[in-house]
Amino acid sequence: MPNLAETVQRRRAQWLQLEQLLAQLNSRKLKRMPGKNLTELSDLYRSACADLAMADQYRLSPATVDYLHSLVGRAHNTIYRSRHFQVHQWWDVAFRQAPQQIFRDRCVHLCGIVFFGLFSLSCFLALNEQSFPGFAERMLGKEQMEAMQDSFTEADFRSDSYARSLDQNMTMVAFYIQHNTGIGLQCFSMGPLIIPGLYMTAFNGSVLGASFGYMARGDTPGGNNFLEFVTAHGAFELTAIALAAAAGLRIGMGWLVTGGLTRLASLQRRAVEAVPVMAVSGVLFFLAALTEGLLSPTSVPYLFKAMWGVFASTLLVYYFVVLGYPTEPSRAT
Amino acid sequence: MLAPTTDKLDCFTRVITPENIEFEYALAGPFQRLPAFLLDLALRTLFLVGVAVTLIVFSAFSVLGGSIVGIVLLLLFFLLSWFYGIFFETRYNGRTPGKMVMKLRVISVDGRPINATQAALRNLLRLADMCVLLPLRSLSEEGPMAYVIPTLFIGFVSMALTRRMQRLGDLAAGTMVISEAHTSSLRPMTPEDPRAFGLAELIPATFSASHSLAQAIGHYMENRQRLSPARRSEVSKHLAEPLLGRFGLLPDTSSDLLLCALYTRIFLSAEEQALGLQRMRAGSPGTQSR
Repeated sequence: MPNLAETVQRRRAQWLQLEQLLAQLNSRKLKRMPGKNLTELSDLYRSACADLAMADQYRLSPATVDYLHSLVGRAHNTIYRSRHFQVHQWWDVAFRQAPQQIFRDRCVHLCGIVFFGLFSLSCFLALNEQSFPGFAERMLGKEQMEAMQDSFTEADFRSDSYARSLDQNMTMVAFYIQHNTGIGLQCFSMGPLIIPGLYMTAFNGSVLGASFGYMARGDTPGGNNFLEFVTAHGAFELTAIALAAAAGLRIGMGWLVTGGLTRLASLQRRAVEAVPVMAVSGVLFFLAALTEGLLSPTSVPYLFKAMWGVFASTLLVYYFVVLGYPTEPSRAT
Repeated sequence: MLAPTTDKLDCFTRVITPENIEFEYALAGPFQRLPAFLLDLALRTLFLVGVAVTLIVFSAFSVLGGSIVGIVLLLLFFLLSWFYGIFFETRYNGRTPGKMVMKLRVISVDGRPINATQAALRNLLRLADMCVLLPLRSLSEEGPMAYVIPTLFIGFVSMALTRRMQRLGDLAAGTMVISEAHTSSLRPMTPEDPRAFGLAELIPATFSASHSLAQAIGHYMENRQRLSPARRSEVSKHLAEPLLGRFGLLPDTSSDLLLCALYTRIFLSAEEQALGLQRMRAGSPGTQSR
């Protein structure tokens, strides 16, 4: 009977050498390694691969085969490495592909119309107390209306005591950020279920619209403070919520409309498509949070806050419409 | 030609390399990935706390206002929570510090290294995997309704349902997490009973074990240490009894011992076999060694 244990023993020395080399390579930068070691690495890797392929002929024990699998796996991961960031490629993705994709995304259109449409409608209804009595009360509830009034009546951005308590208010700001991001997340995470996602978007749009309309009536206590507070970050915040809802819906469409793929493959493809929408939404939430923390609650003159709001809106229009306008005719998705 | 290999039941995946070699990766399950995740979380938190303390100490001696410190920390928190994973997984070939400690690595499902886009996708979708988020109020009555407590529920369910134990982010990015910790040793096992070497001498020299028999005996030896003597003879009986007749050995020979003897014949080198024989002749019962 041919005993191949001797052959294996000879190979074993090479495996151990490969293992040592891998340990060295993982603790040091590849560039610093002498060229001799690198050629040695590839030689040893290839022979280990061959040994693995011949494992049956060599009649290796199962434990040895396991060892070889793991050795070849580690060597493979050392030799085939991930490529580093390529700035120009990312620039192209962020400022050409992403806005164009968002511009022609039907889910974005739908969520935008539902969210901003109901927001405007609800705002209008709540504003006109004479024509639509009791709308704001039924939409928001007495409790929340009073809470909003209270918090914004106290918040007088011009008073000295307010400026002094700003540091303590950082926690409050953090809460608002979490709260608003929470709304966005709610819309996003319900999105894949489609109907609940659309309901959540419609609900949040209506409630936010009613709050805006109610506070903007003019005779509501704290109303001016509210408007001053939301001017700067409102554009970022509301757009971010609509986009988050759209990203969720886009993923949901994956399992509903498969286009001939399996449900999972379709879901996977739609998830990839939703990434730019999610990323932009995340950036907008962050910009809104920064504005909300830095600018909105401070005693900076209102003119500056309003200017910032105009700037934010211009930025959004530029990104979504100017950069997003299709450069080549393509089908809406 | 390669003999057909049977896939292991689970926790393993096969990839084919550019060298046209097929090999196995051990997949990492939730119990390896959760500690790595918590380690990364702890590292990020420590870093953030470190910066916070430094900034607060620094601001006490300078004109830096408390709100500036707050804003810097907020910025840092945002960057850390979104770009930590993307940066490390791209820069260090699919590993974050937590994964390095746990000997894990993210790779594409086809075995190639991950690229920056995949790293971004799987890290951005981490939030979806951390759902369902519970509000702070569930911890204390007075807490705000901020939905910030992750339960990782979606991620766990997704890992349980997919063959490669992928969470949603992995599914979307086409990645999987593999374990590089290797436990199998290279040294063949030595039967603790030296009589196995003597028995091996009695096996006819013309006998050549088939591939599947060699595999079966290898697996038996690796697992027999966990079995009681009664169970060993029960398991080995099926294989050993026909062989005893074929080799012309006494029917009351221990079937466990016969399989040990076959193992030494198949997997041990001539020197090791000679060494074993010496041990038997010295008459020492021999302590079990690997």
